[in-house]
Amino acid sequence: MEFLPAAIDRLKKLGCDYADARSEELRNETIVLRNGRVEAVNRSTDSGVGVRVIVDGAWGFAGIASQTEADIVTVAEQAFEIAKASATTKKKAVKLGEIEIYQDTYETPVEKDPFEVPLNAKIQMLSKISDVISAHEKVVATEASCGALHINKRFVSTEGADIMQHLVESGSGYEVTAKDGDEVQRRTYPNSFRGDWAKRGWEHVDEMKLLENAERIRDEAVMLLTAETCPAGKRDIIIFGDQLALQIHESNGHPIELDRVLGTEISLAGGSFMQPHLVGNLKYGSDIVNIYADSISPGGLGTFGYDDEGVKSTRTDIIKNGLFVGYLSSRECQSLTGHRANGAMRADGWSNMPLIRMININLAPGDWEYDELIGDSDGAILLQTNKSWSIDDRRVNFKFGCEIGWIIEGGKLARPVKNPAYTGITPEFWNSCDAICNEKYWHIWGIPSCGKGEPMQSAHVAHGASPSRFRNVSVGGQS
Amino acid sequence: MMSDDIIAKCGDAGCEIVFSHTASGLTRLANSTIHQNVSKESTDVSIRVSRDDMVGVATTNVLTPEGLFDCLFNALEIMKMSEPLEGFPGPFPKAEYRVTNTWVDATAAWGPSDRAKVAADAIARGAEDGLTLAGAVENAVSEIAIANSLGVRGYQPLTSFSCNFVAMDGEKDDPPSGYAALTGRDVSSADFADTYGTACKKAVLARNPVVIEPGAWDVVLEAAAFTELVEWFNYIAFSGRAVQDGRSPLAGRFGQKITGDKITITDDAYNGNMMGLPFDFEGVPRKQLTLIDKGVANEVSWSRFAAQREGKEPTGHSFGPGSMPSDSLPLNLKVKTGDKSLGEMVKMLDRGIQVTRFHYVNGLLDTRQAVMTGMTRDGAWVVENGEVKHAIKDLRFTAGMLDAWKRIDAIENKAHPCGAWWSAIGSYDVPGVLIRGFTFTGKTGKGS
Repeated sequence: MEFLPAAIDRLKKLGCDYADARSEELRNETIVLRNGRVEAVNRSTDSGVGVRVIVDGAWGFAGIASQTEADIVTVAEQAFEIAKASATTKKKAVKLGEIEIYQDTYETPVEKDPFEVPLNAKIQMLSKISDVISAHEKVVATEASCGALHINKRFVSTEGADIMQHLVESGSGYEVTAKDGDEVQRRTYPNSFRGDWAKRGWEHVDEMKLLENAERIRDEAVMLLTAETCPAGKRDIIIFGDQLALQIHESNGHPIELDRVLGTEISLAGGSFMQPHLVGNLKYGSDIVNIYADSISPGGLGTFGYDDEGVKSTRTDIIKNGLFVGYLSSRECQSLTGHRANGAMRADGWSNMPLIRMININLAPGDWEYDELIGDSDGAILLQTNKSWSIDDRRVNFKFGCEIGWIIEGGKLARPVKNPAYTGITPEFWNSCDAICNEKYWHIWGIPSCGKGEPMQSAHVAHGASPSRFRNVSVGGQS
Repeated sequence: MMSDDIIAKCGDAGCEIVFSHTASGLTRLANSTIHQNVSKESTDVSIRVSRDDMVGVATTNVLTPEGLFDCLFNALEIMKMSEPLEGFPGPFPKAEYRVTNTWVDATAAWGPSDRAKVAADAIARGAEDGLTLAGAVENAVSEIAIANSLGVRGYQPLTSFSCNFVAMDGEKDDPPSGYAALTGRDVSSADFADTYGTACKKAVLARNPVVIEPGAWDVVLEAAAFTELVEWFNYIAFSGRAVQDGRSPLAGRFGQKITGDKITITDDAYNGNMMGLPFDFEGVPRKQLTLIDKGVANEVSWSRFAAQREGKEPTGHSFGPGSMPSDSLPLNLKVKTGDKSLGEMVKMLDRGIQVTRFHYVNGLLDTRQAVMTGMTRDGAWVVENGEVKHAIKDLRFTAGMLDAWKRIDAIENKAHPCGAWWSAIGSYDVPGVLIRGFTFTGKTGKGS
């Protein structure tokens, strides 16, 4: 990392408009037990430098898996040449919005370094879980996993920024597959697709109550084998926080990425219905819907000190009392639209150019007690844990499948239903929200795999949510 | 430190090494300008060591002697500290591999200015029709090398390119649009002009779309659309682990007819539009598989570890040390072609819909029935009496593929190479299809 300024010096001499260089060193550990056996204990290291430059008003980026001074200078020259090639189709010169320039350091607050927890302790934890979730004749497959990540990164720029960050992530989860004849059902805990992750130390995993919930999750998977199919029709639904996190992700997080709004993702992920003329005018949700973006929520997987263009972490209102008021933005988008860069430019490692990515996109808690909400929702269906996801290229028409649904009768969860799915139109759906549980039931769910861009980049994001009710939604079995 | 040095330091432990080097460049355009132009280069080394049933894996991209030694040390430490993986087969014995030609000098020589020229030409073509262009042009050079302590040595250099274009008519918020894409190994034989020209023609034809009601429609799915369904079917169906877990639509149904007669799906790294790797990442020679044979569930891919549990032979589709030992996936999928051109299939529609491609398909709703949902995108048209009548607003489909594929009435006489995320080492060869009674379950717009 020490030679990173050499890239900036070289690019200044070559005559760039702007340049930044980012060095990253990653250390990763993944442990997976399948059917009670340790199928993987993988450790990896990854190190390199990415250089981003504006020449003649156009972008160039190059990355190399090296930290030597000679290679860093070479990759800077490569980025310079690429930018010159980009300039051949330039219609308008790239400008960057003004920001405060920092020389600073940031570290994820950690109580227990995940890499200091002995390997055998992690394996034992997963093994105990595996013993419980596999203890039923109908269970045909189990998987329990945990992981940890250290990221050391340095960012320097021609404007004088010099920022060091040490980020730490931890996570864990498990899944149970039960089968009876032709029927196959799956339950996961605490969330599907690798569990729940946080920018925290191992204390996050210690607090997840993994073992305490193992028997319940196993029994729910088995119970679903004989459950009735989710009834079809218009119903009130209560969406649990784990599923609501993905609903926020797909129907709010992606459409507020301002680069996408301005068309840069059109060919792959698509555009957005949340166009600039709708800011301050679109009633996105009901009056109780408040959604904000931040990279400062304690433990949020989207929490850090500075983004990958040196913008300090902050908080931005996105939906205020149901009204659409803000975007995730970048310095380039700031100069194009006036929406201030708010710490959302992030790259998937040294080898990728930063894009506007979700950080923590949170639905603010409401004022309902959970029991009160269930008691007030006779005939509704409670939906838990994402199973499938699909939304159109403008983020309007969505369909989600969940692992389990519960029919609410007599003020309680009366019986489970299998293969529940719901579908809707984004603004109609959020405007039907009439109850949100309070902060006691609010949790920030870490999603370690959000895809965007070409080449495809994976971001680590989070969504705070508590169980919430939506009126008159189309639900049904999944076929 | 080369592979022999690493293996020598492992002592009596089995050792498997995978070297994976990629240098790639990608030029991305939107709003008829290049907005992203990137290159990157890295080499990853994965080392898996094993003794008895103890296994350790470590990966690095730090190729200094110290970096590689640290990687090996990590793998050995993990092996000592981990728990036994009963039945782990250890390194694969030395094998011979067929030759596949996966390298083209012209593609390797391509640079940012070449990609930028294609982008500029596409933008100019779009301007002729007043269209805005978006898309990406990419080329990559890859080298895969494998070695293990039982004498396996494999090396495969690969080049690949891909491009995709979306031509749009109007503003960014839901304009009529057209799409076309191309992938291959030889950039000198690529007809980029035809590709972005197709996207432009489709965008013009997509003007003035009409909202139509969902329901059961006869459809002609062009290759890009059908590939989305085949790709998801691959994920949920064709790995041995999915069969072992009972999730695959083929599990418990081998020898039974699960789709219509017209569906035959193979995996073949040695033929087709893009050849693939002749070995997998554990050193097993890649076999040709007939996964579905005239509608009958026939076979799936097996890693060595998963195959052993079933008393089966591994098929050469494992991802090796960097992945789970039980995982496998076919990477060179081919759907057998039929005898109709795309135009002839459209003529077979009395009243139906022609679909360019789908967006955000998901196949996890009910994997046993292969139920999938997704949206149409970048050009769909109502066809009446064999003639394209008008463009339509996007629709959502939700359908079980086992059921829908029983109603395939015709298959295109040409397979199109369609890229996947592993395009450097494989691709899909898929024709268009005509399906009767394909179920659309939702619409976005109002009115008609």
